[in-house]
Amino acid sequence: MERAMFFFMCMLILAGLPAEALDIAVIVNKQNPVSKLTSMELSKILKLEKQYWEGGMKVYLVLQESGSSEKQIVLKRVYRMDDEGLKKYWLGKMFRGEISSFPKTLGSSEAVKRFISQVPNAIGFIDNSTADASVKVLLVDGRTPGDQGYSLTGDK
Amino acid sequence: MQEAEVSRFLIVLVAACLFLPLPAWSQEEDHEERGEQGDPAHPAPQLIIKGFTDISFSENQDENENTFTLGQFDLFITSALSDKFSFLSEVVYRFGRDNKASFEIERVQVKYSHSDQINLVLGRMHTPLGYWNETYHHGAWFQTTAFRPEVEDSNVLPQHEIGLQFLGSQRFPSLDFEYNISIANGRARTISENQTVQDFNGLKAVNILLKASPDALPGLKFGFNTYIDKIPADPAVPARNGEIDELILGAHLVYLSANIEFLSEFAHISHDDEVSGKDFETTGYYIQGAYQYQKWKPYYRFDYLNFGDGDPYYASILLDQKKHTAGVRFDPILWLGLKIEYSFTRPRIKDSFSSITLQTAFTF
Repeated sequence: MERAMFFFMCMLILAGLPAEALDIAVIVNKQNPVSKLTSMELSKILKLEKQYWEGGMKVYLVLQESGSSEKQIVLKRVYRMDDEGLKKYWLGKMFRGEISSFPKTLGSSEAVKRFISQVPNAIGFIDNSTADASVKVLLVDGRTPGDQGYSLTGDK
Repeated sequence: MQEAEVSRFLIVLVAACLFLPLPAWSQEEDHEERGEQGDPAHPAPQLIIKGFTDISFSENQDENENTFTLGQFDLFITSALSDKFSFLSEVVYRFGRDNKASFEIERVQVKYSHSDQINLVLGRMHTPLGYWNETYHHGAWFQTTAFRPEVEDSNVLPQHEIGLQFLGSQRFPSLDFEYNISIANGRARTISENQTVQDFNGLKAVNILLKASPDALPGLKFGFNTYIDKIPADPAVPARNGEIDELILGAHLVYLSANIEFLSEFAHISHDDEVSGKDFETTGYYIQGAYQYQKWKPYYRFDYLNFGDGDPYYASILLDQKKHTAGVRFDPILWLGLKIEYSFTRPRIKDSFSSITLQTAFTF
């Protein structure tokens, strides 16, 4: 009985604890001269409303798979739609001739980072804890992941 | 002829099925191995094929019997040839009210993208008239309602064009600006004919569409277009034995958010007829609103269409009308929508009539 009470109390405490925070880093290839974006610029690039970098290279957008925490945060903070809405959005852009296919999707932050480190015009988003010197983390509205007020933050 | 068309239809259908293991959304679930074959920045071109169709059941007081109807069978193909060049094609099979099949290449276009500001499209395209014609067109699954607005149907407006389009977008401090300038063969001798191979009068149609999206209200878009053409004479019809100068002025205002859909478009068509020496003025517009609640989306639309009296170019479709449409769309899954729609039409020269339609529209 005491053991059951102890277990119950532990569950209550765990339930009351805040979920672990996850900061999303927006990354580009180190050759990309861009180092910062506003929230609006980021939204336009991730929605492929803007498809060219200032230097003339085409934006190569890399997404993460449906259901990942990283994608859930970006869906909420940037796309402001759910996963089904985003699929419908891409199909609509294809139908209007604005894009030729759905954006490339990779299975993990590590895979996205590895891909972007090899592709000069690519952009993607990853769990900030996996970011390293192989890619460039962009400032968003002048803030880096972990800064107070950084917009791309959510629960793991 | 009909058998040949059906055979072609079946061949394309089988071809589509062969490609089905590579539907567009499978790319969404792509895995890293595929991207890392060869040069990941420049993968080989991939043919992506999608399909749209719809099946309806309608009871219409203005027609003879209630009926099941197979809608347009639309095969849509895209391929990125490089970072700068892409290809798009759309082929539609449809059955007329006489149950005869017909086939049409609705779009074949190659696009060169230099930048966000400068793009060039060559081929057969949707005429950039405003919102509906480029956004939904053949894909009934895309549109909330079962049917198009009246002004977007029956070639009241020139829905396709063969020629060149220059288009692009530019960011300004408080809004996004888009433009589309097209030069094309324009209208043919009759509203149902196309000038896909031969322009009958050599004079090109010019259309300019300007659109803006202000930052102050995300989801709001508005725009204006001007379309100028000289419609060739049709010697087979005495009343059409001369050219018609056509001027179309259009405007649209659209607001879209996660839950709210508001669409409105207006078109004014002037026909200056050489034979009669008369000007014919046609006006059409629609206003549509919808609200998304989970998988349900109730909607309403008002259509207005008023043809210039006796306009010889519109002789086969002259029917002034006001129409109210109300319905509910339910999407049990993302790629399939079910719609139940009631409409009440008040023509100027006929008795009013109503209709009810059940439709399933899907993409595959």
